[in-house]
Amino acid sequence: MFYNFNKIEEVKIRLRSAEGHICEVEESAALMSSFIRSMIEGFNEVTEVSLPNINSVVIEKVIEYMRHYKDKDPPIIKKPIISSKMEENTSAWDAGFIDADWNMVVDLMTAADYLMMIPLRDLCCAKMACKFKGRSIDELRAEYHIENEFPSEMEENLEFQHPWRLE
Amino acid sequence: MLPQPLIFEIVSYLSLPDLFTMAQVNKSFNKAAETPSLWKREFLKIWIQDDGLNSQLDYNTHRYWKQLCIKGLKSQNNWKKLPGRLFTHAEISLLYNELQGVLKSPAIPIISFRRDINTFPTLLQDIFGNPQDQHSEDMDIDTIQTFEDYLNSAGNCLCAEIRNASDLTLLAASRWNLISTDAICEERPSDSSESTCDTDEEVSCKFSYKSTKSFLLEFYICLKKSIELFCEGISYFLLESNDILNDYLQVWNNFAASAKNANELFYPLVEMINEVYEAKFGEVLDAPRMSLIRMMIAGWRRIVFERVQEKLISQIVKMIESVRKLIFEGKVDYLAVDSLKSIVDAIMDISLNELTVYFKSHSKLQLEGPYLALHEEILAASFDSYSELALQPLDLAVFFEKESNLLFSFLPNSTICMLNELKIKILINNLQKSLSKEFLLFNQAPFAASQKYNSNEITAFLYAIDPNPSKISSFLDFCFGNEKLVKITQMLEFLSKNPYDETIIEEDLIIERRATLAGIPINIQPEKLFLFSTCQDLTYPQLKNILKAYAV
Repeated sequence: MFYNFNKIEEVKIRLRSAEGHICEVEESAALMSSFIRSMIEGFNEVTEVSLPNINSVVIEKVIEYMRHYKDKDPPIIKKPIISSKMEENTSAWDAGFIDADWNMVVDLMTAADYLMMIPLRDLCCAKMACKFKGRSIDELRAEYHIENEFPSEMEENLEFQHPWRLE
Repeated sequence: MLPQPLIFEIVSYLSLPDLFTMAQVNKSFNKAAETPSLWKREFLKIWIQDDGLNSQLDYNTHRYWKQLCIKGLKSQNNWKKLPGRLFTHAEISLLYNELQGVLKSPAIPIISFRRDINTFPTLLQDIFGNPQDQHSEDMDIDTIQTFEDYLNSAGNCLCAEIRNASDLTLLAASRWNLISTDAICEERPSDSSESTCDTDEEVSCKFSYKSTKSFLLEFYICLKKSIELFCEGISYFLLESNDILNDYLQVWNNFAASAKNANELFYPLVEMINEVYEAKFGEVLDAPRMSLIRMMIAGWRRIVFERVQEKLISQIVKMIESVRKLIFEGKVDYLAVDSLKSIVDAIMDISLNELTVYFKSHSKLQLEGPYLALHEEILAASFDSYSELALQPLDLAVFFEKESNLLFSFLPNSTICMLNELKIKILINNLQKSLSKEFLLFNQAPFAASQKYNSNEITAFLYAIDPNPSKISSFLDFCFGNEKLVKITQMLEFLSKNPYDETIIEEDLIIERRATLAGIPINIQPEKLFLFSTCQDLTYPQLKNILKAYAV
């Protein structure tokens, strides 16, 4: 048998999803999440972390992100974003990674928030902001099924503040 | 829906127009979009400076930033409403962009290009001191060409306007901006009673009712509004700043450069307006010419300085106190002295005018405006800290000497003189106290005086304590043999005879000579200097006329 003695087999962390699936990820990648890091550092020898509110599709996506940024820092997205196209705000890989449908981005964002992965959470937030940028109120309400919660006089008041009305 | 912290995060990636939209989507987005620091960030970015001013998300930010943003957009709209017959819309938006560019990132003049650095150390004082130099010749050719095009069309329109003007006095008054916009509103028939919008909009509403529009008034109001808005933003920025001294210096230096740049930018236009109106009304109108620099400085004084005055001055006084404390310990903080020098100069800038600038370091300069406020604070604080000093009179004198040397390097002589008077009073008081203490304790048997004393001040002082001539003369004899008492009596004598610092008088003479060379007659009498300081709103030619009247 042939062993590569230089390479020590890396510890794998097992992430248990909401459905009970197990997804494995290298420890060094998993440490990107402050939540997992505190679990591992808090309880020695922990190799399995249960994430009952994240489904396995999202976990796979998170692991993809962890592996990509295992050895390097994710780019920082400048506030405010300059364009509604994600490619113009961040790196091509990030833009491609986050190019998903609305529900996926929301799930990924809440998962990142839960796992305490600030760069991934910011990436999702910026993506959401891209979706909102330059849209009208009615478009937004229709597209995202948002109810108008304001009583009519307050709405008028808000609209009065809108300087575009002056033009 | 999404948790609130994530909504905050999402909204923080959006910029100005979208923030207004998000505020209307629903309650949680409204809450997120009302975050004041976002509006502060946007306002600073669009109207104050592209980068440079720090605007990290800070939760102590005040709510007015949103109002400022709305005001900013309104003033931008007012520019768009400027009449198309004088300028095309494209030209107006070019002018607006130029003005914004000049305010946001002015070209800072290189120091060696300025003349007479020793006399006028700051940019603004230099401009005041060399008024004929205001129009710089190194404007690039494209700008000049564009301006010539403007001027030709604008000149024709202005002439037509003057021909058609029905109410000359109103036009004249507005040309010189002699009546405030409120006064104009009152004089007009009140079509505007239903109007509920705020003042700047009201003004522009009313203009549309007026048959003879004064282009200058509208243009001037737009310009003024934009500059006032800029100042307002600056004042709030400074009020929220943690390091007001440095931030004030930074924004003031920029603003002074902006004033120079804006003056150059609008100089041909302003001059043309001045000339066209003067050609028609010149003899009737005894009013100052329009000057952008004066308008900008006045705006800064009124909006920025008066709002931050308390905070700024108390910081300066604190810094002087800490410098003073270090001197007391025998150390010098040169960095602090340096920045004190710049900040005092910056406040001097907005307290001077074309005439007083020549007498900036004259010991009898009539102080006024912002610097006067600082001056009074410095005197009050100094009095307090001198009274707290627990020093023997001789040590006190040494300390005062050391302190004077340092204060000299950043305070103008008029303040130094007042401080010196204060110090001399305190010193004399202390010397007299310790002398009288010694005198009261003195109980040697009187004997015939070996030496005749003719120092009247001291004998008179001692006589007031104990009218006993033989005791006085033997005490004086005793003093003569005591090293410490000799010093005290000598110093007391010197101070009561010679209260003025000779170097200051010498400097005054130099200033006067230099002013005479520049064609400014000198007669340093308080009431005349006071007249100088009321020249705040006069032009250089008018100042020259006044000066001629002095000389005759």
